[in-house]
Amino acid sequence: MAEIQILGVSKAYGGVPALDNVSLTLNDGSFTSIFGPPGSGKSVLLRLLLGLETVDAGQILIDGVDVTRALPSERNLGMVFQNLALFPQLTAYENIAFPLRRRNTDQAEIDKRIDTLTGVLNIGHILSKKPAALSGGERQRVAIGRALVRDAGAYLMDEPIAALDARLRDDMRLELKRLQSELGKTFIYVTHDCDEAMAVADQLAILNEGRFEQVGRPEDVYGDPATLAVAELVGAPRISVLPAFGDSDGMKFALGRLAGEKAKGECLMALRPEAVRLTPGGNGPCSAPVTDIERLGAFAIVTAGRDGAQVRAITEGDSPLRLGAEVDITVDPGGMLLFDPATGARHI
Amino acid sequence: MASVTLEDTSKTFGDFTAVRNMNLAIKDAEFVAILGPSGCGKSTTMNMIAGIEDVSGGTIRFDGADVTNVPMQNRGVGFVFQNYAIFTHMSVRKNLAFGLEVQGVQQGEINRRVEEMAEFMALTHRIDAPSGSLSVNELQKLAIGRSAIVEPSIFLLDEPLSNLDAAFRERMRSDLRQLQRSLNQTMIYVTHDQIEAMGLADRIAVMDQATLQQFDTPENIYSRPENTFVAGFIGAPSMNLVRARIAERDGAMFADLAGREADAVALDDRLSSQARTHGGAALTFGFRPEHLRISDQPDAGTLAAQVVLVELVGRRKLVHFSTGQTRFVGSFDRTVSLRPGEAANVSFDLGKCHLFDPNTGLRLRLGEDD
Amino acid sequence: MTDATSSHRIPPAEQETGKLAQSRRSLAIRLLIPAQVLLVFIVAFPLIMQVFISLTWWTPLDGDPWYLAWMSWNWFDNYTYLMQDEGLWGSVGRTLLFVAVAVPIEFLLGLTLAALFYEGVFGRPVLYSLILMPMMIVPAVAGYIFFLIFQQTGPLNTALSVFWPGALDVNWLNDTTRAFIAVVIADVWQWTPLMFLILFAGLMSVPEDQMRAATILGANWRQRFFRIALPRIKTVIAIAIGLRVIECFKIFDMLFVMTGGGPGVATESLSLFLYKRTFQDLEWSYVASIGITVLVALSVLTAVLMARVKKKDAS
Repeated sequence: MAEIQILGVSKAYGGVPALDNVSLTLNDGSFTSIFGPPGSGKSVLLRLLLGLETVDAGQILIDGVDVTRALPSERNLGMVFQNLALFPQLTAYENIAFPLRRRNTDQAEIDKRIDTLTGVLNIGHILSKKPAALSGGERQRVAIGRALVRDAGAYLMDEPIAALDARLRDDMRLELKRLQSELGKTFIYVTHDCDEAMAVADQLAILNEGRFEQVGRPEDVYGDPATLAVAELVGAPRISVLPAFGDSDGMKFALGRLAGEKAKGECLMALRPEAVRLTPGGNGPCSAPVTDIERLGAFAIVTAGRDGAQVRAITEGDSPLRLGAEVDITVDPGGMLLFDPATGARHI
Repeated sequence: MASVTLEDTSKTFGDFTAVRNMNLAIKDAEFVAILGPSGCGKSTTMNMIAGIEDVSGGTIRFDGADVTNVPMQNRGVGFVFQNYAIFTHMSVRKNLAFGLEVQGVQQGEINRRVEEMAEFMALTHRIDAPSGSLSVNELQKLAIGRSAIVEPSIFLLDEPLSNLDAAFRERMRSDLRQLQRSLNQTMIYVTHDQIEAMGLADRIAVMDQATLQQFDTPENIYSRPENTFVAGFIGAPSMNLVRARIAERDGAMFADLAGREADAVALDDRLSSQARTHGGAALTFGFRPEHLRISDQPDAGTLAAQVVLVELVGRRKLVHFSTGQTRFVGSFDRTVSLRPGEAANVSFDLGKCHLFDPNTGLRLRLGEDD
Repeated sequence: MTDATSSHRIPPAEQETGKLAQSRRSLAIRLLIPAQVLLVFIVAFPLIMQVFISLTWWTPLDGDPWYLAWMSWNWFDNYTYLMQDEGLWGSVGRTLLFVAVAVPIEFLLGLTLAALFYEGVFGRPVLYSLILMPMMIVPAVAGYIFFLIFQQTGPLNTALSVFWPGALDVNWLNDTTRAFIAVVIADVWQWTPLMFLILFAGLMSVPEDQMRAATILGANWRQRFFRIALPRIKTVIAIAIGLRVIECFKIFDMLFVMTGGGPGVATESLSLFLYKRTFQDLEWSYVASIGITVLVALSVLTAVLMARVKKKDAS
């Protein structure tokens, strides 16, 4: 039970600002993902929320109570660290029980709580083993169990599944989502993987250079980015950004002319790879030679362009395109996003 | 430029077998990825090629010459460690120069090549900085540059991109491809990330539990996996592997995926022949999430299922279906509209589906080329 | 390793802010207070007493208790005397020479042993204990052992006489130069193991991966040792040498037993000099003034060095 409010928080280290007047509301029971590139301030924000450091300015409220100056132990937050920090000499059971033992919870209560968790996390069969004997995924689940056993108001997670291999990550993503909806607690999830951030969250907050560029539902942040930075950060493979000039004939840029959206004048044109269509030819209003093909099984990333102007497109994994072939470039409606070249703000 | 051959190479640590009878023939100037989950033996294999671990059995040859007992400093390979192993007490320049200095190259020549490599790896602006002050991404580039500068004929990389963030990994993949092409070296690359392996390698060696599962081009690994392990490991999300009861009706073969005979899926000619030849009543039916389609009309080729969960993962929507008895995942464009609780008729791109033996996990095939 | 995805570094403890850091700091202070109080009594009080005495002519031969020393007040006469005292400066010089000869030898020998051990030469566990044994022996006992060894008709000369008959005529402990050499040999024998221990521990902390990377790049043993291992243990080397220099400067028991400072004053270290003045000549006020001088000199030296180090750190 915790609604968390971050109001105008700033933090600097040695004069260098890490967070600049950031505000965010996390509703009770919501799953919020904080996504941003390295150095954007994600870890700093988590440390401030936890109370490991104090803010230079601003407030942090949990359920309306000002906890800005409170000790970590007074804030009732659970945390899953990226490096897990499991105690190597304790069994999985003892690791999970640790926070409760420190509070002198009685054994019956400990057993009851761990029982509920083992069902949800599927760790019943490994409780008696020590971390060294567990696989990466099992260790992850034990670490999550230890954070959850505390019955805190909200749970913070700092890249909890970054170190796992792809299949395990997919499974754990689902599990975390299911866990959160079953427990009904507020989850704050920090990650550098944008697909993961979008998949788990109800609310996605994009943190860049110490500021929130956009906060909203994942589909809105992806489909309707407010700034160029958001469009570039969110979406894999990377969106292609090219300077362009819009007039009544469409969007003119280095590789030709595309049937365009309603923007006039100089702007930055961003093209979502999944909306870019490449057809062999080269005689259309917009064309270029293929400069790179990366075949990734289910799909391929094909780059076409000339000199500095390169456009990425998603094609079938077995696309017949070859390096050097001339292709016509078209873009599906909705796949073209236009931004102001000076401010980076989106032209609607 | 050198070919690398492993002949019956194995490695044991006490009773534990880390690598079991590897036979691998890597061609000159080929980019090979050794792919597998943690603990499969891929790093040990690479360490044996480098000479960091000695071999418990079998031989290793570079260009035909037996190097099994040659110590690591004489093998002439380049090695990029997972944690980079940068000489943190030296500057970037000195790190790059190290390999040339210990070989006795002239100072003028060293300076030239160091500056060239710094330029190539976009580290010129940091060239005199202490290497301990570099970011992870810069350390990565320095590690590669330091090994590449001595122009080894064989370049080994141990999970070099695993510490990097997702966005940078994409960029480094294309840099690595360019590097390999321009240096024309034999590159061997260990990873657990199958996207990396697919995107970079000419051929992929898939390993699991100390054994080589399949050594083939990315296209073949993807579309003609040797067994259920390879099928499930390549592709994200992974291939759906569903138990199917096979029955013949009116001369045609049907796969019952849901425990409802009436709802069995009709197999095409290729799969039917495979099923007939195998003769078993139960097989594993494998289909990739991206090869699932939604049909308007139920017919012999479709399966009725219910949508259980919808995940928006970037530009794709992952839809989890259930038939009561089985669950599987489909991958669709994000504009598709399916909601949890809805009923749907799914059909399969049968030309891209596979059948596997339920006991051995081997893929059924009609001939060598299937 | 630092967090792979964040270039932000967690600030060091001194820069941490907030209630948590404050409560940690106050706990630290509260835990340190008992030790500080003890230190005042053990150090401050005798120090004041020593300064007091050094400004007088007092010796216990006067018959008066020490607090009456003010009766023979002489201001800084002791201090001016010590500046010109040849005996004092001679012993200082000899001690410095001793340190300058013994410590480098110990360091190089210790380093060689550590390097050989690191590369995994042979019979490690047994050899390890053997190398460490000299350090376990009480210095006075070691002094006595070497006293016996360096006798003119002792085991050393006897062994040497196998190759060189004239050895039996060589007198070690009664010859000024040879006594010095003998003492250096004894000290090196006893304390090289300490150097070895510290340097070996330092070498073990060199990351194995970096050594491997160097090997794969083609570096041979010497190149790896001098370019990778040695630079990385610079701090450890400084600590080892610093430790040994300080201890060596104080050398007393071994000399006392082996030569008694002789022949003459050939092996009289500063500690031996002070011992004789204090317990044989009973010139307590003079010795007090020497002590204070040494304290002041070393404090100034340390302060200068620390300021240098702090400046280097900050830049």
